[in-house]
Amino acid sequence: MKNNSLNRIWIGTLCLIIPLLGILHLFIGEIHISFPEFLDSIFNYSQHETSHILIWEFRIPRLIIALIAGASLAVSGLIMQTLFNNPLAGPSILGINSGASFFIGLLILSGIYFFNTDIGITISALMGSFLFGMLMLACSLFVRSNISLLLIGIMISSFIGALINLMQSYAEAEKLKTFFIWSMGSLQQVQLDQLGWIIGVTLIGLLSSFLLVKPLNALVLGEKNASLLGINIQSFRVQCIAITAILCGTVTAFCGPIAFVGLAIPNLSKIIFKTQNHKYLILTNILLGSTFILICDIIIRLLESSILIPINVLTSIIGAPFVIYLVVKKRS
Amino acid sequence: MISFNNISIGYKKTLFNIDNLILDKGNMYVLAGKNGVGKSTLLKSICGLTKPITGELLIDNKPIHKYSNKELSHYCSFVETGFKGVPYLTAFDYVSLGRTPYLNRWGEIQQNELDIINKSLDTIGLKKFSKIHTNKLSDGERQLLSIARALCQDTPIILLDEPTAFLDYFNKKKILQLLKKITFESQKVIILSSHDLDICIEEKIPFLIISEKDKKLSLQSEYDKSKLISIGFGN
Repeated sequence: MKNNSLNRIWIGTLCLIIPLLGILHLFIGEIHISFPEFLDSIFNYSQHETSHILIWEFRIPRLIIALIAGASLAVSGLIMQTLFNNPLAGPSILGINSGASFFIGLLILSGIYFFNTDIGITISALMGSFLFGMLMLACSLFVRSNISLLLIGIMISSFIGALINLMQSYAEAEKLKTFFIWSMGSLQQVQLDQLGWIIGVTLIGLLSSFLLVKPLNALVLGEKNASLLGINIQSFRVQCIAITAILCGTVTAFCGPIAFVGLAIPNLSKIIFKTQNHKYLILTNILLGSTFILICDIIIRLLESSILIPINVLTSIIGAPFVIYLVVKKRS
Repeated sequence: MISFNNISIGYKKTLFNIDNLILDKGNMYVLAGKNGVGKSTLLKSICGLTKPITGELLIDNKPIHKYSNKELSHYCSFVETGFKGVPYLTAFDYVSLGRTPYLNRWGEIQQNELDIINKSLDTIGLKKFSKIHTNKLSDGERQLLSIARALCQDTPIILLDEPTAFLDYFNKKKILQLLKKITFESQKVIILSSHDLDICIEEKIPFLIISEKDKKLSLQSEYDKSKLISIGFGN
């Protein structure tokens, strides 16, 4: 009971912190925006005011995409970790991000304009993530050991990395630049008219992840025990990969490959909330993931005038030491 | 409840055969035999994890392969040995997973479920550990918890693979007596594999002995230790 009330305090604090960070995120930046200007832009939008355009075209989309990216990546990481019964699993390690990258790379570098729309980008990223998710799943049927599975994931990632490099060496300079910028990851690539589409798709993904609470909880005991508890493992696996692909694919398509959030946040939320109940874990991952990306992006915005840090770089800088800490702590 | 018709048990190679055997409600059996003779494989076959090579295994007069996973989870619970614990999974949450087959789509635990969970923790005497994380408990305590989880699943058939392995003498006795009581009171079929022959003889639990020599399983309800040993372990 003591633990429960502590968790409630944490959740309450996060729910308070996120709007505060959100407001901070909106107002930080090279161009100063005052509060009246902000209110004005919401209730009295005018196309001729630069500050209004700045708020609607840049600041608000960036804020929303930060929240969505954090929540989606954290939840897909959680699902992967439970599915593979491995705290070091995550969309970036298991080649799901790379799958999306590969398809996006194919798209940008080959210059097929047929698919060069929002829907086209999303669909190809989804296809990439889903395909490589299924590939990992197929491997997991033959390879029982978690370590081997992680190794296969890492190998697939580097294999795809090599393929992308190969494509890059044949691509034209202009396309190469587009792809390079995409691969660094940015929360600023999304435009206002794309937002509805992204919100819709990720919301479906996040909500349907709550449908997996029961099988996810049972899977903590391993696949055999979950199956004895009446869970249909085969269909559950496909559902997991589908939801992860939706969440991770969409975010990767629009923000580039953002590493380590999917790996670090689910572990962090287990450490903080000390539970294996996925109803709470999904919720806390949504909150913690959003908070984490918001804080990262606020740091990026604060440093923007002196140094430009891509989001992928910052999450790795913070995430990698954390993962090392986890491994060391697990050993001792 | 469970009937075997000319079954051979094993993975690819037949380990042993069961000609005809019916295990009825309200009975508890000890499965005994040499290491590697196929005790676990038999238990796994009854709960549907592996298929018998030939023959028919019926539960409630219906072939086992005609049951879905979900249906089977209402009939059979399986307690394995050596649960290592999961970080941040409390003893209570672990036992409550036994209720999974009965929960709605969202996995919410209702009040009546809570009562069942608390009762099974109480029966096994581990109520005081409810809030402890399972990886912080001892092997024996985890073993008891696994049994509590099976009681929680409340199935007519309970299979236990060496449930007494990690327990002290007192707890071995206690668990066997408890299982006997449950078998009788709730009219269940309980099969447990064990190497603790003496204690099972003391408790007068009928033996299912797998003889490696004849590759046969036979039911023995005489408690003559030397005879049991010559059937199960003689060359």
